[in-house]
Amino acid sequence: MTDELISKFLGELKGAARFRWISLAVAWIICAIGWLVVLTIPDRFQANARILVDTRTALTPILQGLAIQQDVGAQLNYVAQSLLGKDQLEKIATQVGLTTVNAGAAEKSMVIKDLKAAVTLNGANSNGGGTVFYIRYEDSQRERALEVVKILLDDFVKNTLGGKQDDSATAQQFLVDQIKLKEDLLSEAEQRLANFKKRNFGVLPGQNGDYFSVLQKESEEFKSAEGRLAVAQKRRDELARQLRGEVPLVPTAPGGGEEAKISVVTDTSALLKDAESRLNQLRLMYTDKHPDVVAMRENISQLKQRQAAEVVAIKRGDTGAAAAAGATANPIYQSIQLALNQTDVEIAALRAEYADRQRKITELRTLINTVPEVEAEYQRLNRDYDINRAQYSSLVERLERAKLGDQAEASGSIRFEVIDPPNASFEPVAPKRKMLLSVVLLAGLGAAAGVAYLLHLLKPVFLSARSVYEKTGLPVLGIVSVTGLDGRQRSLARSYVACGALVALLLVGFVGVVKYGQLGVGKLISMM
Amino acid sequence: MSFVETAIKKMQGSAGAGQESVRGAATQVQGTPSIQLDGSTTERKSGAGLKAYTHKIVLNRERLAELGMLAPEQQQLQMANQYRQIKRPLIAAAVGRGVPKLPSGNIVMVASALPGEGKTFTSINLALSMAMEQDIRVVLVDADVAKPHVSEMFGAGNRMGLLDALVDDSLDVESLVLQTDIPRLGFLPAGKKVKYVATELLSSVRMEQIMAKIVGDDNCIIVVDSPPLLLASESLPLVNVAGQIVFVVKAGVTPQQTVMDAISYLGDGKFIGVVLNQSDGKTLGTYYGGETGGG
Repeated sequence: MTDELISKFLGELKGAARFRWISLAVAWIICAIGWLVVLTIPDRFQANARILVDTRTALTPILQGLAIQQDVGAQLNYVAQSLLGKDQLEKIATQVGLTTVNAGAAEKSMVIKDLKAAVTLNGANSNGGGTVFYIRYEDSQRERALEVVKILLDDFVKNTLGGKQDDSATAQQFLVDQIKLKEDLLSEAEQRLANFKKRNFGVLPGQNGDYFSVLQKESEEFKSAEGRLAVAQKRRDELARQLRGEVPLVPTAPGGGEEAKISVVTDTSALLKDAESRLNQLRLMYTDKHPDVVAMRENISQLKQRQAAEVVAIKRGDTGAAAAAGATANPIYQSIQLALNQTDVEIAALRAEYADRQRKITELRTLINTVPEVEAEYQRLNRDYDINRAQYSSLVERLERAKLGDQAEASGSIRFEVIDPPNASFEPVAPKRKMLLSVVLLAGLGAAAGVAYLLHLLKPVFLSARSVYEKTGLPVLGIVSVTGLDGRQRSLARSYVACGALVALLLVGFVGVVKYGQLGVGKLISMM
Repeated sequence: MSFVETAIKKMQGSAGAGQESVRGAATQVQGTPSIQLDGSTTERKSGAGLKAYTHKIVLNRERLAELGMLAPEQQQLQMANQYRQIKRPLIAAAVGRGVPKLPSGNIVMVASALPGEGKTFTSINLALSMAMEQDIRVVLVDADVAKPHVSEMFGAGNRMGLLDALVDDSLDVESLVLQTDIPRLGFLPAGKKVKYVATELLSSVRMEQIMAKIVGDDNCIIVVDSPPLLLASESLPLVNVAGQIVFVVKAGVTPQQTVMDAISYLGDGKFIGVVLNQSDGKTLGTYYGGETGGG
């Protein structure tokens, strides 16, 4: 099995080897052209520098907390802006000789664009705090690359780090303005708070106890007023009752000739009394239907009517009537009347008080609903005020610190340190000639092999009797396996050797080209 | 000693026991000093005997080996076996042994598509192998008139041959055929005459007459070495004359398409067999159809 495979493989190899000269030509052409191209690629040199900047001291104390995030990206943008601005780059370009002052605008802008593209500016947070900035530049000339990086670094140190001074001044001015604003806001807030306090005194949170005790007090007083009113009213009622029980006119002092008049009165009431007692007696004996009883009732009612009329007349103050009736003011009646009047007055006063207190209570009660609102409002105002106050204080504090910081910086305590001064390797970083040359060689050899095999596949030969029969349909009389008699083997071997020699020559050429490339052919080519 | 020489010696040995001596005088070949064998062989009673030609040549074995026409000693046995296998169907069809006799089947043309595929090698060795047969004789004809390698290798480059016979009707072909030192092998050189009209000459009736004359009336096989099919036009009339064609293909060298193109020249009607020359394959891998006359 493996024998078959081996012989098949060798057969394919030999078949492909029929086209060795073509494939060799392919290899040589590819290698020649490819190597030439690789060798003519100009070198690129790289210069770089690294600088550590504790940007926190430089930039952040001022801007921290004012809702501006200072991360490396932002710092980088800031630095890139100042370092790689169009004018800046133009200056650098003319300085290092990439373009001249008199060059056209289009050419200049192209040069600047290339320059900008070839500059790499990067930053990373350093472990010890601060940021490490990398400046990197690639150019076909080493000295030029170095110079560009030097200039960039100087600019960086001068402009960026020094420029922070300007920043500081503007930042301070900004702070001052902010402080002024805040002051105004603060006083406004204070005012609002004071007004509010005034308006809602007693209802304010914290004074909540007062409110309720006030309410309590009012309620109590209201209750007492109510009570007093009730008492007074009762007294009045009692007095009225007593008054009714009394007669306003009493007979005048006995021994008067008016006895008869009084007796009229007295008669009426005496008659009434008498009639009533007699009625009672009658009723003890007879029923209501008894005519005597009936007559007595009638009598009583008549008497009552009479009495009532007389009383009315007397009550009216009809002293005339009173006098006619022969009565004078009853002193007891008078005193009772007096007390009654007093009580009335008292009651009136108490009523007023009652109403007043009631109103107060209702007022207070309604206030109870607004207490939470007031509380909230109060808290808001307080908070606003506190915030304003806090901001104000911090602004003031920061301003102080900034001023201090400035002073500190002026005395040279900015932290920056050049980690790597501008340096450029003497070896170009690109192109990787050795690798490219090897790639070309491999490509050439590969293409050669590929071409040979492809041609072999396209122009097949007969390797076995079977294939002959299958392809031609003719019977195979036999095979003759003796080879080499016609010297073909020899000439074939010679041919193979020649081929191999040429391949070896190619490899030698490769080594030579690599060596040549290492000698800085770029320089030679660029000098051409 | 080469295998061929051993075989010849054997034949001589068998002949040494009181056989009839060969007919015809053994004359020295002009200009070729070498050892002369007593070309005595047995004449078969069946009549398929020998025709000993007038003129003789001796095949210089070493020279032939040098030129790469004979196998080196180590491979002689193998090659002999391989040619035995090759010649068998050819002989069978030529003399009607076991298979129907092909018309003109005893004229075997050795052809190939391109030069250098081994036609000369094949025709020489095929002729030699066939000459070992007991009851046939072989005449090798060098019809590659443009490049008469066989004639040159046999040392008969200056002798008159086929072309002369074609041109001159009066020439007796048989007198031009050379007797080699191998008993049953004769050789007709290419000839000296003008070469550029060879195609027309070869396609003339005279060619057929010549062939018929050479064959005579006994079992004779003519092995014709021809020019490459794709390069020379002389090969085409030979195709018409021959009844069997041995198409030689060099393994691993001749493109398949070339072979197909050449085969298309051969047309139908002839038996064509392929010999794969310089092949690394095993002999067992060969395959041939049982039918003759397929094309």
